[in-house]
Amino acid sequence: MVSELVLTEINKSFRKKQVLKNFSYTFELNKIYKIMGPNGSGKTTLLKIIKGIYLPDSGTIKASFELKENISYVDNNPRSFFHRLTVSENLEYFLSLNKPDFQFVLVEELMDFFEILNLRKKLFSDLSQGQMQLISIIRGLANKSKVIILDESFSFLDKNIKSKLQSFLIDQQTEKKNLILFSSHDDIFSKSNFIELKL
Amino acid sequence: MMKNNFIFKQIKKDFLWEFSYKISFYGQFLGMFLTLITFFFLSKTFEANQSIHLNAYANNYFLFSIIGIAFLDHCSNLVRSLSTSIRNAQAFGYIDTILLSQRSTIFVMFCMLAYPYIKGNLKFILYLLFASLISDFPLPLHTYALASLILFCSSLFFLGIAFLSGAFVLVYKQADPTNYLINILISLFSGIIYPVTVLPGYLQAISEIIPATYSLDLLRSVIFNNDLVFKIDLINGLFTPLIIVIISLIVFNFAITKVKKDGSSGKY
Repeated sequence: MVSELVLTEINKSFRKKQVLKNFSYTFELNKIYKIMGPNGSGKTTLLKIIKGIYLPDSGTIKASFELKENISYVDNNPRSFFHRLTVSENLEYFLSLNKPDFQFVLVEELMDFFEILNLRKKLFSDLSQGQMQLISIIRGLANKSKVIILDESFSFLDKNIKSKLQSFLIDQQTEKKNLILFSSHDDIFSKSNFIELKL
Repeated sequence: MMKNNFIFKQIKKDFLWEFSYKISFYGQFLGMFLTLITFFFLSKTFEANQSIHLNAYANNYFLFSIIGIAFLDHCSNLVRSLSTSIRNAQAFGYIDTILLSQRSTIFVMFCMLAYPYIKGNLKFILYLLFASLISDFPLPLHTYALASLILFCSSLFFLGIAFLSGAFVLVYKQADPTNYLINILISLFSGIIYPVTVLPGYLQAISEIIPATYSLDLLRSVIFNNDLVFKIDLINGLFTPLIIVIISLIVFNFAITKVKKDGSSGKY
C-alpha cells in the first residue's frame, strides 16, 4: 500500500467566492510540503479541508491511513487555550480529547526538548505570545499523528526555537515517516528540505 | 483507570476553570442564601392563610417554592452550560480542536455536561437541606437520595434541550432562544413558585405536556409525603424526553455539518 494522501477535484466556495477549483494533488508521507500563495489564495482553506475542519463542496480525500486519527493541526491562533488554567492542565485536557491512551510523558519530552519545562505550572495567560505559540505547536506534535499541519504557526517564535523546531520536524519526517504540511511567510526550513506547492 | 478516563478530565478541567473565577464561584453559593432568605420572608407574609392550593404541600410555601427554584436553577444551568461551553470555545478559538477530536463529538459534549450536572445536584441538595432546617421540616436521608434520583431521571429532557441550545449557538453564535424559551415555559407553567392548580384550566393543559411539571410533582410528592413508591408516567417521564433527545442529537449533528460546510465554526 502506498503511503500517501490523495486529494481529487476539490472545490470550495465561501459566499459564492470560489477559493479552490478542481484542486488535485498527491502528498507522500515522508515529505515536507510548503503551501504557497498570496493572501486569500486558499492556503488555510486547503489545510482545513485536509484536517476536516471544512467540508469541501465536492471532491474526495483518500489516504492509506485512518484520516481522523492521524492528522494534527496547529493553527495560527496561539491563544486557543484556557487562559486561567496552567500549561499542564491545558495540555492534559486537550490531548485527552484525542488519544484515549495518551501519556503525559510525551508532552514532558517535548517541553524538555524545547527547554520550556519550567512553564508547566505557569498560567497560560502569563505566557508570552511566542511561548503560547510553542505550547500550541506542542499540543499538535504530542498527538504523534502521521500528518502534521502547521498553518502560519511560526510568526511569534524566536530564532532558537525555530531552529529546534526545524530539526525536530525533519527528524519526524525522516525517522517517523511523517507528512508535514505548512504554510508560512517565515521560512523555518532551508529550501532543500521541502517541496513547494503553489496555489 | 480514573486517570485516563476522559469524563474525569473534563470534570476536573471544568471545575478548575470555574474555580479560577473565585468571586463568581463563591457568589453563586451566596446567591443561594439570598434566595432562601427572600422566600423565607415572602412565605411569612401569608403564613397564617391556609391556601387550598398548598394543602398537598403541608401549607409550607417556603419549602414548596425552594424546591421549585432549586429545580429551575439545576435545569437552567444544565441547559445553559453546553451553549456557554461552545460559545467560549468559539470565542477563544479551540472549537475546532473539540469538534475534530478523535472522540465522538456527542460523547465530548455529554462529558461537558457532567460537571454542571454534579454541581447542580449538589446545589439542589444544599437548597433542600437549608430549607428543611429553616422551616423546621426535617427530611430523612433517603429523601435526598430519592430527590437526586428524580433529578437524574428528569435530566434526560434537559439534556435534549441543552443540545438544541448548543446547536443554535454553534450556528448562530450569540442567539440562544431555546434556553430563553424553556426557562419561560417552565417558570410559568411547571409550578416553580406557585402550584399548577392556580392556573386556569386551559393553561394547566400546557403544564401537563411539559415533562418538568411531572418531575416537580414527583419531587414534591417524595419530599412532602415521603412517598417511597411513586408511579412512573412513561409518556412524560421517558417517552417525551427520549423523543426530544433524539431530535436534538439529529439537529446538533446537522449544525456540525453546517458549520463545516460554511466554515463558520470558529468565526465568532
